[in-house]
Amino acid sequence: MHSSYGGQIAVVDLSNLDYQISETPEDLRKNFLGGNGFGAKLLYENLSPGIDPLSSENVLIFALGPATGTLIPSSSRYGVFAKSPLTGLFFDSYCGGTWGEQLKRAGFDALVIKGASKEPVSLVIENQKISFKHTKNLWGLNTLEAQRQLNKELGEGFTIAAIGPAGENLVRYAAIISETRAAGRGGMGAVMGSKMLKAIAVKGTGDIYVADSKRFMDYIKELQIRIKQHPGTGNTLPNFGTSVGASSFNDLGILGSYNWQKETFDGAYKISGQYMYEERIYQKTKACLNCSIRCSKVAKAKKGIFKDFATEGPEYETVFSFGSLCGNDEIGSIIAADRVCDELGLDTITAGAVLAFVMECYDKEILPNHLFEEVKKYNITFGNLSNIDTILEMIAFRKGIGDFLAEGTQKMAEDLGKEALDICTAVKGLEVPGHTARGLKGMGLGYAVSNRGGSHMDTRPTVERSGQYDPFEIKGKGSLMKENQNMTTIGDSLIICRYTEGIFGFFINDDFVKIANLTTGFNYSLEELKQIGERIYTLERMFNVREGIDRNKDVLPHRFLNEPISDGPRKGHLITVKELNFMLDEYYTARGWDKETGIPTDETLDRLGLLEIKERKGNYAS
Amino acid sequence: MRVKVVFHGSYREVTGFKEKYFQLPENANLLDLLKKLESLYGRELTGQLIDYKKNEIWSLMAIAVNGKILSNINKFNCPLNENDEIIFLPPALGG
Repeated sequence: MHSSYGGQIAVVDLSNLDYQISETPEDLRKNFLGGNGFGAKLLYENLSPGIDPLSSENVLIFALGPATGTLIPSSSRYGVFAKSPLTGLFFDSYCGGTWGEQLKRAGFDALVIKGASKEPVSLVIENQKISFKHTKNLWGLNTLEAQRQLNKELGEGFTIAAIGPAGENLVRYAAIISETRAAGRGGMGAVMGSKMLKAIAVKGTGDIYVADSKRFMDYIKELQIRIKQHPGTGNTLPNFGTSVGASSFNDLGILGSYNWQKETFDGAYKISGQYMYEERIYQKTKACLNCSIRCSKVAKAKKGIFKDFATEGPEYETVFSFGSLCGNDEIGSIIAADRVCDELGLDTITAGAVLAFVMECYDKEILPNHLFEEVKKYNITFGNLSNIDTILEMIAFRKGIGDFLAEGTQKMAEDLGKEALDICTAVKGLEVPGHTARGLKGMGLGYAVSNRGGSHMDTRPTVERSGQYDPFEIKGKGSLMKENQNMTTIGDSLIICRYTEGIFGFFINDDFVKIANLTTGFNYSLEELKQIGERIYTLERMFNVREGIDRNKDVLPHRFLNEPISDGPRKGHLITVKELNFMLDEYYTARGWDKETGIPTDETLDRLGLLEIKERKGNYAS
Repeated sequence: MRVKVVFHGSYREVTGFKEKYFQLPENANLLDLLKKLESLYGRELTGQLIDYKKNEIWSLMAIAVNGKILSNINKFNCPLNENDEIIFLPPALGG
């Protein structure tokens, strides 16, 4: 029987420029599904605890899901997995475009990249042929230039995932860029740079099958109708893009601004998708492969010092991070920031958050003299991104103050001391994105326990922001968010984009079962699929426990626990320590993790089939 | 009584307004407002919120009344008061 798996895993050793290809094991496919599941299992087993994420001992994994490259809308995605240089923990980051489909067509489910090359090198995969290309000539080029040059050298038909100067210079939030799309968060680009791996070029010409093509095509037709009919996927996203939320979040008083000192922003409309649509800043609409939602926009600045800068984007998170979070309502500078981040290979969320943090440090005069003078010189102040291109370049090349900014807010705050730590809004080292913790209590819990740290992709803000669950209630949030995290885990294992929430919902349901079964042919029940989600998420937690995470580390930033929202409709709201502890108790109980320590119990590991892995690979840092 | 309605996204496209005040009878509730808007702008507007085939709210679509997000049609009989602010929200997507 056919399935949609590529069928093979390549283990690449960059130290010896060698590789091995083996069949994707049946038990890996059956018990860990793909994408996120493959990343979690392969990383746990291949990586020793306690290693430096930027050393050759880190392992970088690219994995595809059973939905990747099929006609399932929004599924042309791949995942990247490694120990994060920003958090020191398990990390997964996902990217759209066509690179994942190409790798599937080449016959692979995953690439496991070990060791480090002595010189800049690129990996070239043409169907079953894998080769190493010395690419010293590409080192130093930005991501778009590198893709263009490598395409020129290799000939037509390759899709390339590359790092830019940020990855080469080990900026802790460097991204991997393919076409103009990013596996943005967690510094996966820096891990790639530490291995001297500039790019991975892939060309695949094989077919992608599914397990039951007749029923699969019927289901695709049904999904296309549902996408078209839903006002979010059929109307709002295609017209206004993902940034549409900025002004409505502001009306609700949940738009983080001025480094989260406030949660409203006077300039919200001027950074929103609504504004870019109405002012014809959006030039055209783009889509990932086989995706009928078409949320992506190409925007061009029409005035100001960044006039004529164009970018694919900016997405909501970018208008938040370089916009309201920096107190900046000049859309041209946000478009420029998005474009320059893509070129240099930087995560836009962390880059914007780092600047917002420094802006507040400057206002509060908690920077040492030499940094204070540089901030002043480049005018890194709230409401002003007039030098954003220069500042981002300094970060990517670690020049001047850029070397400090390249470390991310957590490490910067630790260097600066307590006053800075109190205004740092990172969770486990990852800066929180544009979704309130104080205004959505369950999301606050989600940030505290997320395996990625301050991520909106483990737990979804939509669960409460949709109004389907009361954002101010704490009771029941532990089990609710556990179920939601299991959904994101299965979504990231299949791999499908979160923008399908309008049609698929917040929890594992028959749609997920249908996608899994029609592509893999495994005939999972709903309960079995839920258990796979739980298994994968718990394995990620085991990875983090092995790195020293426990209940004491499942916390929120000082600001969210101690400073009530200062303005707007949510004025006065915060999450108290007592509320967080209540939700944590519920959450650990729902997960079957020890309530005192937050560590999965052996009984739970046994139920999920993980006890053997723990006993073989260890559960604690050595 | 007079209430303020704020339109975002597709709603603004249909009405042509960022915000607008509407007169409603005393003791009107949210459903009364929706009926009024339907009569003025048709289901092109309210169909963005309500799935009329199922008579339920589309997943991820909601209205906020004075900052409180409502997404359950059974709750739409909540009474409105003078100067209430009703926000037609774009889908709660993000990130």
